[in-house]
Amino acid sequence: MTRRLIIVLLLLAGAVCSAQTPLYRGRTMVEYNFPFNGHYFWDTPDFRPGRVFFNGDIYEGVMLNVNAHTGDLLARESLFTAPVVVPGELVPWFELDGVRYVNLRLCGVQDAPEGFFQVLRDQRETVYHQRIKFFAREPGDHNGPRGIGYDDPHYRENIIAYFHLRDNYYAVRRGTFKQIHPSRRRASRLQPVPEAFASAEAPLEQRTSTGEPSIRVPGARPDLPPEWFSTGEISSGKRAILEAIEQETLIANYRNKTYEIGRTGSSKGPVTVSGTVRDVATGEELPTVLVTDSSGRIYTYTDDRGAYSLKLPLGENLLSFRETTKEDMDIHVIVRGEGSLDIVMREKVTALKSAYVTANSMAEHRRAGMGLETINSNIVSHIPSAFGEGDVIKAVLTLPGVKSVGEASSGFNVRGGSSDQNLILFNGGTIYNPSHLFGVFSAFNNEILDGVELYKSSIPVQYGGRISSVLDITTRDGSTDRVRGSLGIGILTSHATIEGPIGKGGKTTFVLGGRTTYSDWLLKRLPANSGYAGGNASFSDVNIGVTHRFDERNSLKLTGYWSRDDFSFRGDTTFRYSNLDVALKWRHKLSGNGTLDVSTGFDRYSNILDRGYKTDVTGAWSLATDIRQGFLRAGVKQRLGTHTLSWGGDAVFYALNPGTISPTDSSLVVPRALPPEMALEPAIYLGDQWQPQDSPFSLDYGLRLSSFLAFAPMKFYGGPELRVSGKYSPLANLSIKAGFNTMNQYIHLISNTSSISPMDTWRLSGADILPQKGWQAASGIYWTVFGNELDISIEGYWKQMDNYLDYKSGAVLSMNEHLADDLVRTRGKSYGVELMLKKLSGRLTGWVSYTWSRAMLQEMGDRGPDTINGGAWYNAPYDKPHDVKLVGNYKFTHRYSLSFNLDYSTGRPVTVPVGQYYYGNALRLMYSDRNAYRIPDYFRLDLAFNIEPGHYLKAFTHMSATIGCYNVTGRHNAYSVFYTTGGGTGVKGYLLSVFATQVPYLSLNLKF
Amino acid sequence: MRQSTKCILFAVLLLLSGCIYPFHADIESESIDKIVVSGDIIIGGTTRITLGYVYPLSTLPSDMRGNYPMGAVTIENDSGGRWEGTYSFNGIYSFDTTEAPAAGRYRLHILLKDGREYSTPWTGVKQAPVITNFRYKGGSQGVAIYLSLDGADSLWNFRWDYTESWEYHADFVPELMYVPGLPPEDQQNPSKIYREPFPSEIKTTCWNSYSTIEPGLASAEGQSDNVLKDICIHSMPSSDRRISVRYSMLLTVRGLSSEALSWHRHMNALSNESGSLFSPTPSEMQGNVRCISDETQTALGYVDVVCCVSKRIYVPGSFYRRPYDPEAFLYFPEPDEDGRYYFEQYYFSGDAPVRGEPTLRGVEWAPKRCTDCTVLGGSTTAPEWWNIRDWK
Repeated sequence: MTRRLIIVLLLLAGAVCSAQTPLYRGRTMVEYNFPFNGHYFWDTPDFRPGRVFFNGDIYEGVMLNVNAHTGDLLARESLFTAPVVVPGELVPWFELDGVRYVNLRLCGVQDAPEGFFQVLRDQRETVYHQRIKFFAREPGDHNGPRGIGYDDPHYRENIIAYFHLRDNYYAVRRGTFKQIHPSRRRASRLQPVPEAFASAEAPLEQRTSTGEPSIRVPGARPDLPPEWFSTGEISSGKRAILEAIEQETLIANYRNKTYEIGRTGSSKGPVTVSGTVRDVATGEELPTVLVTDSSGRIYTYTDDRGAYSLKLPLGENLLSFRETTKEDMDIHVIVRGEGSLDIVMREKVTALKSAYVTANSMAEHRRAGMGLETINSNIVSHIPSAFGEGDVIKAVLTLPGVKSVGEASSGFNVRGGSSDQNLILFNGGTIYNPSHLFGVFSAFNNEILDGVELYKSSIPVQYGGRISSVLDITTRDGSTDRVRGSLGIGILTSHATIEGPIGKGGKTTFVLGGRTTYSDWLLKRLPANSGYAGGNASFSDVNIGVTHRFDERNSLKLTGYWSRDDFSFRGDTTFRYSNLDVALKWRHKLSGNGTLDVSTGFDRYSNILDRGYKTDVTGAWSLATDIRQGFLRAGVKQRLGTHTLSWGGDAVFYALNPGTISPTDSSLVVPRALPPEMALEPAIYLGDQWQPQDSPFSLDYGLRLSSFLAFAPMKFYGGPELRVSGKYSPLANLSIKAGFNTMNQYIHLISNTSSISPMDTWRLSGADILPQKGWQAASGIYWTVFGNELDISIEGYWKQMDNYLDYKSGAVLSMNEHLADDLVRTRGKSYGVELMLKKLSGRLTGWVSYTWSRAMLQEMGDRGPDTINGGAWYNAPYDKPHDVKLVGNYKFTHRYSLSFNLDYSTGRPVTVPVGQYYYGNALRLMYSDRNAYRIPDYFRLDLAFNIEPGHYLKAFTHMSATIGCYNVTGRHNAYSVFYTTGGGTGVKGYLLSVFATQVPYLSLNLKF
Repeated sequence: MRQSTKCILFAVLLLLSGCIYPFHADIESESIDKIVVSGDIIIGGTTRITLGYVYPLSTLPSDMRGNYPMGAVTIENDSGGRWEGTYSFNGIYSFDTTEAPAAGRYRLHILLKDGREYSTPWTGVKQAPVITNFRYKGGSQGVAIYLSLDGADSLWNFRWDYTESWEYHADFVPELMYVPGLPPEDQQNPSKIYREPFPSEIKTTCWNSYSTIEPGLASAEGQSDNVLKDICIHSMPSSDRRISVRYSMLLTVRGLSSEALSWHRHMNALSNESGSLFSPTPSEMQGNVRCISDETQTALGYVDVVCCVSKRIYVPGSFYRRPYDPEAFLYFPEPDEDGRYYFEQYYFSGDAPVRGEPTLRGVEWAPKRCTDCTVLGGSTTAPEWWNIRDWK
């Protein structure tokens, strides 16, 4: 049945995705059945890799050639497939061997002949060259430089079929497109013009902020006939082509020109070059773009406003711009003095969304911090997951050092830390339960994500409040040019997103996204004997973001997030929980190289458990807990020479409802509420990134002073948190790092389950619950080899913590006024080594990692025989010593790729029965020491086949599809084990497997 | 249902049901030298304390009977009173604590023959709660039994156990009995294979009983006046044979300390509530029995000091709706092609004659459980207290 289902899904997806003409679906190439010497191609019969702008998108590395007889562009998908004719009406231009060919008619030059023109350049003007091989039939010897004939001994009598070669040249003179006849000598001097449409006649000066002309960008405007730009109304399709060409032209200019920066003689030593990096399509400033010189030792990152600044020596240099989601950009510059260089970058070609890059190649060699992993939505959407829903948390779990207690479990564990020791920020707001459907899906809509950063160590000073990690998730701004949207349909969930400008000018944009599930609808249709017919499970979430740019220096962003989960298994207990986050962020670009960010917001996480009794309405009750918090943050980041300073402060005000019981209906339950908890957590920080140029050393260091004031009863905690990390790079592609950081945590998850559950409660530190304190020391070696294609890293860490809360046996954690009496303080230690190998480019991309680690706990104190495991160290519930992860993507063509994900780990520790006894005539089990045994090892392989959208410029919608299978091997991975004593046959052991078989899925995404 | 919908439902079932498979942990075979102490010290009644051992998981339940810790088991109070336990059977030590004073503190002391000595801490007596209402409610759906308790001054936690007893009848009264073991030549002779039953062989009225293994636990913490009102402690559908004629429940209620309640709840959870996604991770709980001769030794069990109160209710059979039983039918035996009957086979496969003309094919047969109520586990002897005059 599964196979049949997959076939159906494949056919369906194929039908959907082949509705539009792809690049390789043209008619086959013309064959000529008469003999002739030579060939009819433009230059050579060999197909060579080139790039083509087809139907609105750019295809890289396409095997191309040109039939000079028909004027057709030919493309070949592989050596084993026949060349096909690419529909010329969809190709404004293509590049082959570094030369650009344009379809002038498609660009609006109606008096130009049909076909493609090679763009050449004389000293002064752009010349268009068209090579034509006419077909003719006549007697004679037609072999030679202008003829491609046939060696017929009777050529004088016989009619010979042959091609006659003709080279035509054109240029724009006095506003008209004219054929020119250059002398043979001049024609031989004509050079290809990679920077298509470039013209020295219309230079565009870009100026620095002070108004000084700094660089010359000759060719920011295509050298097309004037009527192209001036004649009447431009159709939307034509405008789109024009915009695309303009963008392409800009990019091409950057790539192939040499820019002069500054004035000669204005400086003698290294000078400051600054500028702004923007997205070519939206104009949005791009933060965290890595800017390096040719040596790799002079580098910087763009700040939150996309600004960069670095000191370069005078003379020629190569500036490289790298950002995970953008195409790499290398610009030749000649630095003559101080000046600026603003550039634009564009998205990676959509057909190649397969690149799994967690960090830019070489990026590890530029920053002193370590343990940072970045993920973008492309990565998330291509990692196979259950039911095909792009899942941030599941993507994070593919990284080394990140583990979970099992499938369908909420939360994650980073380097031996518990799930509550991760600070999960969503646009600055705190998320306390990052999952939907009890852990099957994450709480975040992948469609609106901008970036995801996970700090495993070297946590920046602006973050605090958790002792293990920080997961910072941000959503993107809305599109500035037009309204766009997307729809996604999966087996269990659907999502929709719409974004665009508000008003004219693109200063205000919005993005709105939502998700929901229809599992509830399906559950109601399940057979009664399934056991779930009466159950329900549903969730929904909504994201909204509005951004307004007042001017170049000020912007305001309002974000909101709301989610709801509602489910009940069997019986009469219903769980509900909800997240609400609202944040307002003002960003101000300071004079000089600085940015001020001020944000404030409100977060709420509420949890309700409705317990009804079918036979006893008097005992029905509803238990509610919630966390409300308001926050205010202000931070400045400013570059001063080789230092980048960060300073600021933040404050979080907590108001917790630890538990309120309310009677429902005619219940006799008396309303009861635990005393609310309130506290203030203010902190100030100061940090510095010291990156001396031309030095193999760099240093990040900072101090965060955190404090915590609990009200009722008043209790104060606080202390300094040290963050230090350093780097030594003996080679440009080799770095050695070490770091140390300390953290404090004042809010705690109280749980006796393995993962975050709806029954868990959160408590603040107070008189009887001490803050958790932890420190981590880490070091690593990073090596980039094979032309920056392969990153090899090894990181080791040692981590310790105090006051982590475990529970006593038989503890009552809910509605317990004396909760601290049921808890035990433990100290923890974890250590490990993480090996990782990343391949960042080529057809096959991805990473493989192996982690060996341990995580142990020990009760602090002596409770006699009740002390956990007699006071010895015991395994933490998430201790998995061996962990292997393989994530990759292999692209067959630009549209088709295969993603795979392999996960192996040691089984997590569990407490199992080791004995049995009778107690009151009932057979009971005696359990082992806590976490003394392990469930079976975990292994899972997922596969997904991705079909990217067709590349139609004029198409209103673009559809993509993913067909995949979760747990391909169908392994019965254990979530937990349990034992029963019934039936009089002794003790029986069972394992619960959440996804115990292959889970095929299909997800369709439509963008417009 | 359309095929596509079935596919989706199949996928959903994969998600939600998960799968449960047998699992055998590679548990080290270690000797567990630990004793188990169960039972409460009951003031004003008979105390029964049971001693047992913890056995490896591989031990069959049947092999766990017969070997019990032996020694001197004593109840002491802080006034110097001592009650020596009398060993009866299966590890049970009985104490006559009927006259034990309700004031003061008690403890259990155990001295095993191997020299190990155990004791519980001095514990005050938990008074019995007041049973304010103990009733049943019947209807077309069946019968539910409700309990209301009042913890009086300082009692918030309750435990109850009950014993069910019921009378029930066989479906048919047999008028004939089959005589097994006849020689083949007589097995086709109706006058030899059938006879009238003796009165002692007619087992159409039986009584059965069952005592709960899992105690009922409840707490009135958070409720007004530390009372529990109309807790449904038991229910039976209208098709339940137990309410077919007459039914009785003897309820015994006692108070519990918070520690004892926590211990019992934890033990119940370990046995019944593990394995689901949100189940608490299991952990062993020692109880309040300590080895005072060797601190490295531990024991399992929680011995509380309580007073008990009992009450009985009766339920008539008017709420019984006999369900359709496809196997409770009468039939005439069929001969084979040669006209021979195989009554011996019917008999030994669990059927019995019921009524009819004692000819080869004139007698109706039925499953034996329809004519003999002891097959269903009951006894033909009524309990001594089974007195119809007590019915309400």
